[in-house]
Amino acid sequence: MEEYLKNIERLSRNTDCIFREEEDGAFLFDPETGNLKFINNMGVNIYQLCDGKMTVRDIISLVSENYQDISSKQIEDDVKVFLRSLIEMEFLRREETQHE
Amino acid sequence: MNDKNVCYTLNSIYLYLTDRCNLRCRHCWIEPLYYEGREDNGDEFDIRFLKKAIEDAKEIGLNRVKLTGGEPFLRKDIIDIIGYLHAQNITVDIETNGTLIDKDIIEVLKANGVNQVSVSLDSMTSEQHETFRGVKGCYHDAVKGLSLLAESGINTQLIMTLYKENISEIERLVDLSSRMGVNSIKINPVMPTGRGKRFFEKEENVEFNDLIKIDRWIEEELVSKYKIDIHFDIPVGLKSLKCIKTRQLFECNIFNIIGILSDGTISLCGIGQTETDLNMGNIAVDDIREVWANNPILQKLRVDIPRNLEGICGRCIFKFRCRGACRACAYGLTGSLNSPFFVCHEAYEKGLFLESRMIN
Repeated sequence: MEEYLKNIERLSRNTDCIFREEEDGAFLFDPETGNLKFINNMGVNIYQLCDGKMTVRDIISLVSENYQDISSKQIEDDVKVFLRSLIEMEFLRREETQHE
Repeated sequence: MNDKNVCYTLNSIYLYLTDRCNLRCRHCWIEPLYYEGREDNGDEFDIRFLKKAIEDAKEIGLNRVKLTGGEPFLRKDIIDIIGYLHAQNITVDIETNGTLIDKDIIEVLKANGVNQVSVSLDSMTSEQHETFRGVKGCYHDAVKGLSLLAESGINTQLIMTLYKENISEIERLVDLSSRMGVNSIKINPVMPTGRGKRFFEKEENVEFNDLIKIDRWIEEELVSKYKIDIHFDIPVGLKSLKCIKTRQLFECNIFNIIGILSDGTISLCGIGQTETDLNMGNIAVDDIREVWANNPILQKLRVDIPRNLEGICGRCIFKFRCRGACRACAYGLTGSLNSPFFVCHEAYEKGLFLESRMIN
């Protein structure tokens, strides 16, 4: 099965959506579709790393630095699941992929 | 989510079986007639019309009916109605003041697989409960009814109406419910509709800051201290983030509900009892499927909610989920189904609505 999200892909935040931080995380809200998602503090960090410049691999590497007791495969899977959920709710957009 | 292409299913009917009640509750938004006997005054709908409406409504999605009133157990043919709904595979919930529940009724409820019975109790002190409910002796009867239900294994809920004077009763009622084996407790702050208006005129309602304090206290202390499910009914936009993340919240499925009043009037919900502008027909003469599909009030509601909600409700990031909390209450207060819910409006006016939950 083809991988949904490739390591070389770059993601950017959908600026039409509203990002609101609270004490223990943040809400993402799309006023057009009504989509609403709560993300925890780690999710906030990952979401903010999606600047259209960093690749998925870069993001996974940065997250891995903070969780050295968790296997890199596990972190990669978890980050990709999270990013996929934000793409599907249109809080993140895929940038045009340039071949390495 | 609303869209003209969306097909709305009528999942639930709120069935107001009678406009009579054997209590005189100070806050009641329906304002029923006080009456102790079981004989109706001749204007309650005939069960034949109800059967037709239920059969028709099943074709457009009906699977649940809530029996309420007035006091539903004053209705002479309530047993027949419960039996009929059970035979139609409809999930039945009942809201009652509990005073007329006896062992015979318990057997009927069990035999017909009633899903949940909610009983109103507002204080552990008989004097306070009876002053609020307006009839001497009703505390004992309500507790007895609640106890019979809990012992029977029927899913039982205690509903507490909250105002300033009974705040200290919250934990006592949670503790009682927990010990009795009641499944859940729902705490509803008094609303400024029907007789409840007077609570607000006399400033007997719980103030906004206290509502928030109570909500956080329940979520941070009571929920972990007691095993029973505790629900404090304030809009999701005012709830703590932890609560939004972890708890199932009650929200009105206004796009999937309709009310049938005791005289057969089809209405948005019980609000039609006092706000007759929201009445849409009568089951004696109108086809409920036709009303559901074409009534202008429902059509406008489906267009307006949540996109044209006004005030703070229109600016809230939870508007697609909350849909402006109770639209009936909003209409009762302002004459508009689009106006903001009064609690959130008050919070906003006082600068207490969280900025993080507002759209600029």
